[in-house]
Amino acid sequence: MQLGSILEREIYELVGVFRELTIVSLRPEELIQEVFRGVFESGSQAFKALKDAIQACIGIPVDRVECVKRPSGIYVIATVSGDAKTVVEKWLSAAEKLGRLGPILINWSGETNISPQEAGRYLGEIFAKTGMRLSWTTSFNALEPLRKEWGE
Amino acid sequence: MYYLDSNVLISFLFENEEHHRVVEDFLLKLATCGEGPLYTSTFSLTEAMNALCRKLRSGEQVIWPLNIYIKKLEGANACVLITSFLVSFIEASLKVKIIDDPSFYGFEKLNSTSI
Repeated sequence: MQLGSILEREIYELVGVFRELTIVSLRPEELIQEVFRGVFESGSQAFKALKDAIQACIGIPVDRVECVKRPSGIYVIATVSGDAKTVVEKWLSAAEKLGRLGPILINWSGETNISPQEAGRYLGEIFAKTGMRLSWTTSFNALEPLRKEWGE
Repeated sequence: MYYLDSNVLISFLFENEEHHRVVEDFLLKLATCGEGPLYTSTFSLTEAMNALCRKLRSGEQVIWPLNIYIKKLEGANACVLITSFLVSFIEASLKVKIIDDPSFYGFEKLNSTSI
């Protein structure tokens, strides 16, 4: 589900998640409290807060923020200015801070100047640090694809 | 010494694998309890990645959220990305040591004759 169609209830859930976080280390405490003290009146306000928090963590301008609903929860996708290599390096440096905010994925709007091998290496380390995991479209048992491989 | 086989690697990697929670809790405890390093090998990695890539190529499933980056790296080999991801992920999260057997890449001898 894209940002435009996200339900208001889900926005509040998202805000609730952010309230429980110890994000005081990311930005000055008073600013964070100000942002999260009140209930956001609209989705756009919530996303503005998200955008600011992510930008403060990663240290490069955030162009836009989207939310995607998955069976495992709501993911935030932030598109930031910069080429792929710079962005994934910054993301890795900020991975632990961003991990505290929740499942946040960073995308880049500039040149894709990274090989699949390099991208995989960065992403693997980032996911280990943030606690994010992968998922298939549907749940499965690890032995199913292996049994196919064994010809069973 | 603890050896991680392909099914354990897959389970650890995917949060919607049936036994993921149990496997993840166990491995993370094991990695920090000081009972020595965890090991896997190129054999198990190859088996896991072949199984995953076959599933991926069938087009029936996508790997969230790597599909975002696979799409972004237009024309990229998705299997290269996910293999690289898996190695980096288990090294960073579990400090796994990978046993690399060079014979895996060579031809075996049959009846004392190199083939």
